[in-house]
Amino acid sequence: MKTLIAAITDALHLAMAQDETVVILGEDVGINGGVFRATDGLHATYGDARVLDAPLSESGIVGCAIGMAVTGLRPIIEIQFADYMYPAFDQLTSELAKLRYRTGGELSAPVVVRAPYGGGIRGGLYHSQSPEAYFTHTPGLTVVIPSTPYDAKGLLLAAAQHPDPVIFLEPKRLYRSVKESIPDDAYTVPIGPSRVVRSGEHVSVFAYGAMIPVCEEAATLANREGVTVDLIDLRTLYPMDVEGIVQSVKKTGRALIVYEAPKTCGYGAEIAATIAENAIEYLQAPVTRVAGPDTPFPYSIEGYYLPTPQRVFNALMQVALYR
Amino acid sequence: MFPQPKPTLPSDEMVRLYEHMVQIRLLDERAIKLQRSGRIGFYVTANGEEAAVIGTVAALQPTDWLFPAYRQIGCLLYRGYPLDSAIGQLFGNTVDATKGRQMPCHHSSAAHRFVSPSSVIGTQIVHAAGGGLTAKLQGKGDVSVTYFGDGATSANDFHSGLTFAGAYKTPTIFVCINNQYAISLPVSKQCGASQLSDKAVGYGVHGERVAGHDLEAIHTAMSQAVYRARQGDGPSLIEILTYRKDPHSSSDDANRYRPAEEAEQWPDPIATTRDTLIGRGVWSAEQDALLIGRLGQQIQQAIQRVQPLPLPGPESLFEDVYATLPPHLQQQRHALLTELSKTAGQQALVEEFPL
Repeated sequence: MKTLIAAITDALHLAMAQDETVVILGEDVGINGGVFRATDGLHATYGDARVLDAPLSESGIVGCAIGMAVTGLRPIIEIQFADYMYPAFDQLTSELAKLRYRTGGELSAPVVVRAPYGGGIRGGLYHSQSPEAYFTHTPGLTVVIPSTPYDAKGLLLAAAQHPDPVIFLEPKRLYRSVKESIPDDAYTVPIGPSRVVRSGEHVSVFAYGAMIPVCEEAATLANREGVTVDLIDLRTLYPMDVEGIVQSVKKTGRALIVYEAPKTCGYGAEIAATIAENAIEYLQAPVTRVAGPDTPFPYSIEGYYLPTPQRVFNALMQVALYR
Repeated sequence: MFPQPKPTLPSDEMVRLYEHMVQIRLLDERAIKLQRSGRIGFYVTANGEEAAVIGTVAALQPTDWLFPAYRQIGCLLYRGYPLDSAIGQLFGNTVDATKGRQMPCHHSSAAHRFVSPSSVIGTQIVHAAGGGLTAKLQGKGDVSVTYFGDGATSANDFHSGLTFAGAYKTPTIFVCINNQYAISLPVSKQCGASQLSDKAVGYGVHGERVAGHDLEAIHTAMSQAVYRARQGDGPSLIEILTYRKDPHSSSDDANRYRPAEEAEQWPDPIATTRDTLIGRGVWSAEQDALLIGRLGQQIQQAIQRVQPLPLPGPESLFEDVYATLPPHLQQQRHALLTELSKTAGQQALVEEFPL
């Protein structure tokens, strides 16, 4: 049985063993093994030449990784918290995302940017944010969010071989709370397709990352009421698996979207628009969102902020019973 | 126009500053116990930085603006911030002026001109250049002070802050408390400069380094920087060299990356100041014991008053996003309160804070 964080560590070890151009760069990733211990043991195995503690500049980490990638290395970088991607925003969105395009395809920067995101650890304003929509709004980036140890390992190994930069957001509240048996050997989970978590007939639920277990719990509650849920884990947010979403809505005719980022202009808005564009004639209820409120993320009252199984269940029943 | 700083601290003044240093140490020790017993979620101490904090803030006027990082609670207490408010912030409860929104140790008080620190490293450095610019443009004679650590000197905003302050010659003082570590990274690996105060040169900023256990030297260096700033002679970078005696935070395990005996090579600012005062015949072991007893009791009583208070209600989530509550937030607040009235209860936390 492996936790999600152990699966990530596992993938990093394998990526480094498979490809000697893979290097790790980030704050406290060396002897300390990262603040969440994702890079535990890598420095002991590969040393200073391949596991580099970075000075305290996220913009520096991303910018340096771009330079390394252009000149022949494959950096897998760690931004200590997704909240700290903002100091690197320019390097991520203007540089990393656009390098291939602005060189007419001659150069690219296949950097994997790992960052723990989301709430649920009492991290307050600056250790809890969900920035995925900024990056799914940035052509040139690929955005991945796993929710299980199996997917985390397989998607990270796929990201390490991906020809373009990947923003790999890790649901930190699931790091140690979800466990499953996964293969010891290297394997990949393809970037792109969503995953059907559970199949149902009455309501489609679209979610990703830390909201998957919340939605599973809500789906179990709904099941007791006779409502079966088609729960889809997006896994790759960008590019979006339009076909997977549309197929599910065509089956159920009802859609609930769950994410913990602020509601307005969140990733769920794009899912809703995609459903409206591609499957509106199948809808039997309004497309509904359960999301974080449009406020910054609080500290001591974060339980009010995050979508809970109960809140998702309430919304699920509303959508299911809409006539 | 402004009085020249005196080269030494009068003994009674030094005793007063020492008392403030001891208060920080005692609060830190008590707060770590609260964290270990699960009553607060997180804490960062100023262990080894007490002289740096008090020696600098004591050289300022209460009207000077502070743009701190998260180990300068001592500045606020020095300026008379109530202990109950400080401790309430650690609980994030209803006496927390910032309404439970920030992690512990991210205090803020407009009345004390102590501007809320971010958790993002170094962002406040450039704010202090702006604060200095206001003082300069309005001819107020105020200075603007920012605190940050060795790690922050690598952040982009360090560059921006010193660039702007240097270019506009603002009355800004950059206090870099170099405690040797940015979480696990020693300063020797943080940058190639042999001393961080050297970085000032390239920005046209006065730079100097001072020993972190030497309260008098810190106070003198800061007083001179304040004098230069008020006179219109521009910004200074003061590097205060000390050692982070504790782990980075209550979540950190320093044994993973540094030997415990390393700390012994660095003098303790509290013990150093106490011994100096005793050596001068203005302080005694008996007085010290009484002080520790008195301050410890004050802290304990404040905790007892503050700890039982409730957390802010869910409606507070929506306040202060804007000056007035816009319609969409009114609607979201109504929806959340309606829903919570039907199904109360906060979600259990499932992962520990790691740093």
